[in-house]
Amino acid sequence: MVPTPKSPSALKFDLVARCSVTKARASILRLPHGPVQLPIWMPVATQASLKGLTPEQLEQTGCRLCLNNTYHLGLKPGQAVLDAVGGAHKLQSWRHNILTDSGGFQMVSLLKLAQVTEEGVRFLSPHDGSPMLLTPEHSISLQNSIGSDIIMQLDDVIATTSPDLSRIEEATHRSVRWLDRCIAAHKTPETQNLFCIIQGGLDLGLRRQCCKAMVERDTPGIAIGGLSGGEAKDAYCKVVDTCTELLPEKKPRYVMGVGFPEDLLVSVALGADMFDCVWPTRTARFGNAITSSGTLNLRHKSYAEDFSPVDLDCNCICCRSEADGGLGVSRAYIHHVAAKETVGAHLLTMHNIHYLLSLMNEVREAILEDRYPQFLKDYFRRMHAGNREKYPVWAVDALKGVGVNLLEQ
Amino acid sequence: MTRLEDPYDDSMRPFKLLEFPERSHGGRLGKLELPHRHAIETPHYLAITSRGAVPHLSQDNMRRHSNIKATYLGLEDFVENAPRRTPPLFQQPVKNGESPLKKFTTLPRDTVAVLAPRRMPPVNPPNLNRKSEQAPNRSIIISTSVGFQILDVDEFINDAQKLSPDLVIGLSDNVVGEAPGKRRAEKMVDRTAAWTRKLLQSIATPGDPGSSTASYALAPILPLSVAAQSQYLAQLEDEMDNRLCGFALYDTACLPDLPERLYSGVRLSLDEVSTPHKVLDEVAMGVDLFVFPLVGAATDAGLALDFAFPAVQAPIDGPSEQSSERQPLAIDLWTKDHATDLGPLRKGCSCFACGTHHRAYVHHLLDAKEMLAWVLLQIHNHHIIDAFFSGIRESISRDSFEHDVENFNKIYESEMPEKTGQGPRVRGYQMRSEEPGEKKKNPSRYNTLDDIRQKIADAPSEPDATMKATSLENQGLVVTRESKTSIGDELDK
Ligand SMILES: [Zn+2]
Ligand SMILES: [Zn+2]
Repeated sequence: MVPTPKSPSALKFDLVARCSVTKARASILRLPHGPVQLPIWMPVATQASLKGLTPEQLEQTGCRLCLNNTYHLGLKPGQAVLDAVGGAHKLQSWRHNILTDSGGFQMVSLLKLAQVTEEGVRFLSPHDGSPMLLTPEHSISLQNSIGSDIIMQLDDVIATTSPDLSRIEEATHRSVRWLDRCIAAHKTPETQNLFCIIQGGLDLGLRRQCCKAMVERDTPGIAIGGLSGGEAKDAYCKVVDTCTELLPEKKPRYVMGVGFPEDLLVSVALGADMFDCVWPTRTARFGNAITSSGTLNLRHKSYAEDFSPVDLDCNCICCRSEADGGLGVSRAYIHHVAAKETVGAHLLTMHNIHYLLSLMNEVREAILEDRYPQFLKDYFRRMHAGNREKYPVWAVDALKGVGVNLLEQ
Repeated sequence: MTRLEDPYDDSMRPFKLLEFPERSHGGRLGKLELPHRHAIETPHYLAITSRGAVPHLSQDNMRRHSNIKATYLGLEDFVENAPRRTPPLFQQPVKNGESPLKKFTTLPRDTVAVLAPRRMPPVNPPNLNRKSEQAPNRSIIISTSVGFQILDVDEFINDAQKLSPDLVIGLSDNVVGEAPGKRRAEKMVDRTAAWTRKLLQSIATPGDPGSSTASYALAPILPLSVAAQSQYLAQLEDEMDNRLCGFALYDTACLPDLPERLYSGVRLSLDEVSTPHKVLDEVAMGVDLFVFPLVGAATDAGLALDFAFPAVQAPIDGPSEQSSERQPLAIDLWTKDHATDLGPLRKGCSCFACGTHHRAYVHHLLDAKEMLAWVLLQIHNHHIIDAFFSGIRESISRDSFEHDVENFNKIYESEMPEKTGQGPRVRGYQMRSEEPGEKKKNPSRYNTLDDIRQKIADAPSEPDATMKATSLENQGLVVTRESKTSIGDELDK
């Protein structure tokens, strides 16, 4: 039998450990701009900049892989400038990895008048209102100009909450066809890794079909898409669980648009490796700090005289004491500047990114030492101050499905 | 340079002139040495802060990427709702000898902190009629983030004592806008004289027995002629002991006529000088310390400062360029010709922004309204101004100051370039004036954005199980064609 030719790839995926109870994995993803440890959460630097942080500050939070948005970079600075400058790494002087989305999600969610046809996504230019078209070929060409280490196929995204099953079915099959067009259009597979995106809404049968068709295309990595649209969490968990069952073990699995700590922890237990979400950085601008005891809105007056650090256990530059080489910023000072001076947002953004990155490091450590089930129990207990009645039912159920009963000691 | 003895030298005063007595025009060199603080060689600048931070510079960036050794803080940035409620700043726990002001704002201990009643530049009350409940003989009107408030002189002195800044600028009775009439001017002088006497009597200085906190005082000099405030100045001559470290001048015009006895005090100019040329003029008149909005204003305008002192004639790039043309003081990063320029903001600049990033990126960030644009410009512009002052000091010590100034004026344009782009968002407490007929500082599209912000702020801060990131979008964050220029700012995904 003649082996099918292997698709070109610019990454190496080393599976390092598997949880003996859940489907959680720890691995190393070797990308063109250095290795990253999985599981990972990736912050989003939309327009080649992350909420006022310098790339150096982003690096110091521990980030080695961040997102840029293709749609935004396509508008500003535009493809011609990206080509002239030599891509997004050069534009922002970022020496680590970048992942870009296809731009399709932004089209459909930001532009009311976007319309999807077999050709691509039609929309009106936000510059002058003239009709424009984003095709799989355009998206790949733009991402080739950006030079990101991981690029995403253009997919036909529709809300999982859509009642129109035939439209969901059409979108699923179209996404497979568009994947083929993306693979054909991809000019630099030896330096940029194209990920497919599994579609199929909440229909597990469709998801299975899509997994099968896309796995056959043998892309270097696989994303599970279309999920951050407000569907019920138990339905979300079923989709992730179903897909990871069918995906090859030796490839990274990326669930798009996930960033709440509890969602990350459960999704890892269901076998996913990579996540991105704007919430942790966006929420920082409104004075929200992510901590081990939940999200605190430091603009609330109860923090005006709270001179403790944002999170006592956090080791970020903002929370660390001056004696330990940090700034020793207090909740009271964040309260003083939140929404009044941009430095307040910068400080909290650094904290929130650091918090989530180090949470994922702890997750990884727990998997490596095969104590992830206990880690989950401890985290939920702490997050809800020991009150099990507050544990979200969907999380309890999903984890039960992979052998962890949160409600027992 | 010859170093002469200061006939009025008081060894207790932390400011020493390195050259004495007066040379009419050429600037003076000095050193401000406070215990456990950076020694400040003068002439020097104070970095302006807003709510305790140098705008756009998070404290880690300030420490790592600036050479800022002294900062200016306005008490009005911290005292919302006082005296009804004790401001949080005053409850900051500190170890013995620590300044609550520095601890609260996470300012490094060795940074010199200068506390004044008001921000720089101050926001003036909407009209000059004093609030009815104000007692004008003992208070001024300040602007806080919750509105205009009254600051009583005793309250101010009390606050300064508790906060323990390194230098404190006394309260003064200034009239804003048009020049005061004779009667009003007399009142200004009487009140300021009384308030300064009170400050000097109350304040503990470093070394005073039994005092854990201590500050040196700068007496305000009013924007009046020396003749109009001569009695007050005579009082200051008597008080030139160790408690009075120097003067804060609202107008430097009276400098040449100041009594000789006041000569050895440090002179801080609060003139809002807007060009480096004016800084040089004031240095020549004998100003030691500056606090001016020039740097921040350039940053907010998207301008990268592009001058050095002493000036070096830029190499002429092309044969077509006229050597007689003056060089601009700054580069406008808004203009499209920087879109693919991978060069530094200023050729040869060693600042972090120039060493790590390029013009194309800063231009992109401005165009995309990304906050990082102003961060990088602020780092660069502070670097330029820091080098400018060290150039001034070297020039004075080489005795070539007058010549260097002449040359500087020949090489550079006399005004900053016009601002072409839009600055960062301006907030009420930062706005300069509320004169009727004044243009709105922010275009109206921000109003809708504010509504959106409010909606998000009002949303439950703890995301519950069913709230996903994108549901924030459903709360009003939908980009329509009207808000097309700020898609990136408002919406990430
Ligand atoms: Zn932290
Ligand atoms: Zn520079």
